Amino acid sequence: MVEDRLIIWKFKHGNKDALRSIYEKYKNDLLKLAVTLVNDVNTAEDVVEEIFVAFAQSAENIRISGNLKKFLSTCVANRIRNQKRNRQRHETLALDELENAVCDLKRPEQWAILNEELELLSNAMSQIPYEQREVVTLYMQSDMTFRQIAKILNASINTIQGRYRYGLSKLQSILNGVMKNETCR
Amino acid sequence: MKPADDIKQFFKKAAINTNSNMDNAVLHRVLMAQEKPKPAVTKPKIWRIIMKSPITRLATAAIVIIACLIGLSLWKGTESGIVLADVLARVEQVKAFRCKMSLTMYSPGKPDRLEQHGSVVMSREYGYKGTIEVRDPNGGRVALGKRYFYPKKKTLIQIGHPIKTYFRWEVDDAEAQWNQEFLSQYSDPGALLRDIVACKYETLGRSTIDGVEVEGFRTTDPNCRSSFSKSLFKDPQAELDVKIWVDVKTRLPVRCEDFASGRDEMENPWIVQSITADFEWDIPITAAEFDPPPVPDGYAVVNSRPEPSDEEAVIQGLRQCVALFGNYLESISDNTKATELIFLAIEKSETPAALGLKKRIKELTEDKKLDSVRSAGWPLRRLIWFYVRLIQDKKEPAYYGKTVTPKDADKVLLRWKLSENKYRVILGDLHTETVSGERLAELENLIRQPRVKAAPTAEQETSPAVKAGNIIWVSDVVDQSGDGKPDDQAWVDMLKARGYTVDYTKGAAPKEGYWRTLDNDKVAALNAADLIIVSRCIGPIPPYVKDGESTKWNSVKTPMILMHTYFARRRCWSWLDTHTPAIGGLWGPPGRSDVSTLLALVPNHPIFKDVQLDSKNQVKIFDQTVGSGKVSFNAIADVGNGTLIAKPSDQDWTFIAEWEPGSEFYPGAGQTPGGRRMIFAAGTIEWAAGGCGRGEYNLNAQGEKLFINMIEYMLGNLVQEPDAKKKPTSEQKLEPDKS
Repeated sequence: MVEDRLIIWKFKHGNKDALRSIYEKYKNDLLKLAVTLVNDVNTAEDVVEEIFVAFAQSAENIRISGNLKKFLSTCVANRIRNQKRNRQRHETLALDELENAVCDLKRPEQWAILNEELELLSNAMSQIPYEQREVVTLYMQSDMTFRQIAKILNASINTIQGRYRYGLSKLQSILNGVMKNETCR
Repeated sequence: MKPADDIKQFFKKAAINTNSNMDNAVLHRVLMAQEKPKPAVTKPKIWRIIMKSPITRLATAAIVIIACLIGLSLWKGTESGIVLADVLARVEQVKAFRCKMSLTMYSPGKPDRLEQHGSVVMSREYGYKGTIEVRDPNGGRVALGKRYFYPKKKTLIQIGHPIKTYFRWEVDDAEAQWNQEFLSQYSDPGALLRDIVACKYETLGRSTIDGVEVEGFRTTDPNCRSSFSKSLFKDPQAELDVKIWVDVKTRLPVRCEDFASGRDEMENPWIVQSITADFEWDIPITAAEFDPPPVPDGYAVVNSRPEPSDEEAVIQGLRQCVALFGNYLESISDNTKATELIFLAIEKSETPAALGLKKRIKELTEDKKLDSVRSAGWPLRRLIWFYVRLIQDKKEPAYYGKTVTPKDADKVLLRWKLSENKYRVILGDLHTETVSGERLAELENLIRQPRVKAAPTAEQETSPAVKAGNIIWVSDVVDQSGDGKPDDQAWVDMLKARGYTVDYTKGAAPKEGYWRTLDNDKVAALNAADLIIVSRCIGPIPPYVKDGESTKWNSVKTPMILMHTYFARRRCWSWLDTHTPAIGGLWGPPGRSDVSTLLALVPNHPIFKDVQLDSKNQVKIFDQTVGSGKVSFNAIADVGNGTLIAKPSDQDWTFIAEWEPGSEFYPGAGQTPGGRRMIFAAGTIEWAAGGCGRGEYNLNAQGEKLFINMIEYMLGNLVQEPDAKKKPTSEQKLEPDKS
């Protein structure tokens, strides 16, 4: 934490090495979070790059006292939620069609490389409602408390805990077979 | 173990790694972003959002009431009772005022520094007059010039002392308005006040200036002075600090201070500071004070808008083009481009004149550089104004700078009508003749290739010799970028400017394209057109596809250019045996598309006429700074019974392909083109979150040339060489699409 604060302090003073450290330290966590939320590597890559670019331009507004990982995770979750809302508002294709199309894509070069577990997890997560997916992911992956999640999602703690329980239960049933196989190996 | 623990374990095992090449590329962009000022956020069209939803309407009504109450408290003013809106109202009541200004502009770390001082008189009745002085290197100041603007007479007078010239010209309505706005932005505290009042500002309390008790107001809101900063900086200013000091007794400004910093087109940082002071409000002004100033002894008088009889000035302008560019300008119809063209010449041209100019200005100070460049550009301005005047006067002008060179002694470079069946022509070697209509037709025939009709240019709009096509532009007329106009409007504007007749019929409501769901009348209209272009600005697609719509569209006999690649897919119009849209980054932030280079597989196809293909038959055709910077492609290079004309240089995707009528698009497609068809992947992918429009005009100059050629080809004006339509060479042969 102290290390983070020092990095942020340096970053606020325009230090490029500090920004590079932040990027190296958190890029994988953020990519993993984004992939789990959107089940699409390309979109996840775009979101994380956007977040870092916006972060790089916002040195003045960053507080030294905050938890950087939670801050950046919140940015990713917010950005994806906003994009999802915008996409629904402006969609060209039906959402399922678009997502299929995205999954089929080959980019000239891919930034993020997923291991098998993350691919399975991402696919499983895509089968549970987005609200539940968001809570489960932020809780499991970004070390956020229910209170913190409730605050960023503007919902009550009870609602958040409910979404978590339902989401976990569905995820468990989807992953059940996969996990059995894992155990058998 | 509890289920949650199992899943937590799974989350831990799930891991991600990154490709180091891409890692470095992304990190580079992030580090670059740290250096750049934050881009301006596109303001959402709040009112439109509000009016769409009844629930939002009600909720907003409540917010508006609250906002008004808050507003009331703001309008109560400061402790002293001064309200900026009241100051603004007083300034707007003033009939005339005088003030002094100083402007300093410099780039940190660079020696050049522009310092100007001036005095201004503004009268609502008579206009504007001002003097400009610059710092004399030997001490004191030296007069640079005077400027008078008479809005009612639409006349501008400018006296340039260093070049001993007296300019006088009449401006049209648009130029008059521009001048008025420009001068207000620089000199009128009313404009500054309006800007401050519209932004968040604070009071600075009381102070004294030259014995006058004043109260200060300040804003650092970057949106303030945005129109002013746009004329100075590439992006909105990074930093802004505006202060205005108001006389407590008179409630009129005493001093304005304006500080802004930002970057120019070359990314150089600039700082601009201006101070306006020594105001004299409501001064008596007589008409005599605004009499046009006399021409100083020894000064050349220039009426910058030459009359059509001023042929010598036009020839001088054409000579200057050749001297600076090595050739004639491609277009002379845009009177806003003259200075820009000169700067371009200085940057890129290597003609002796351009090199000489570069050398001459190298040692000059910034203000002298500007003078020197303006001076060199003067003949070009006169040429352009002359041509614009010919258009306005309907003298049937035509200009062929695109194809005619200084060596073409027998080809018409410029012509206009003198009287019935009598034309004045300036030929390529700049000699002039007066000819009959018949002789003109003969001369103009020499310009055109034997079988190729040149695409009409804006200059030829009035020329009877060029047949313009009737084009139906199929669009949903969507404004996804939120800038208040359809995202694909620029395509249509460009075509109209080139003389095409474009049917851009809008639907009953936004996003409900007129051409959705074809009935007999619409099909008849499509068949009656010369060309149909299906825009990328369409969505959703199903209304154009479902219930037999695909067959109706495909059966239309009129040639068609399809820019919306989603339509070409198997489940839509079945032009291509694929369902996969390929993307230069499908959806997301700008700047990730790597596809911009076109590889011509049939380089001798007429659509590449005059397009500058490199040694590998490649050319970049997109301006990737537009919108999302991305384009949708079809991820397939097998175009069935069609011909693949071009593909992205690094992808086996369809960039441009064509089909002749009568054969299925591909075996088993079940769809057959009723007329010639061409697919052209162009127009931006939308990205709503970033305010990027759908199908925005994203071609660069080469792309535009290619697109116009395509249109002419589809209209039958550019003819296919017998051997042109050949399949890709063995080196260019493509692997079957694996996607």
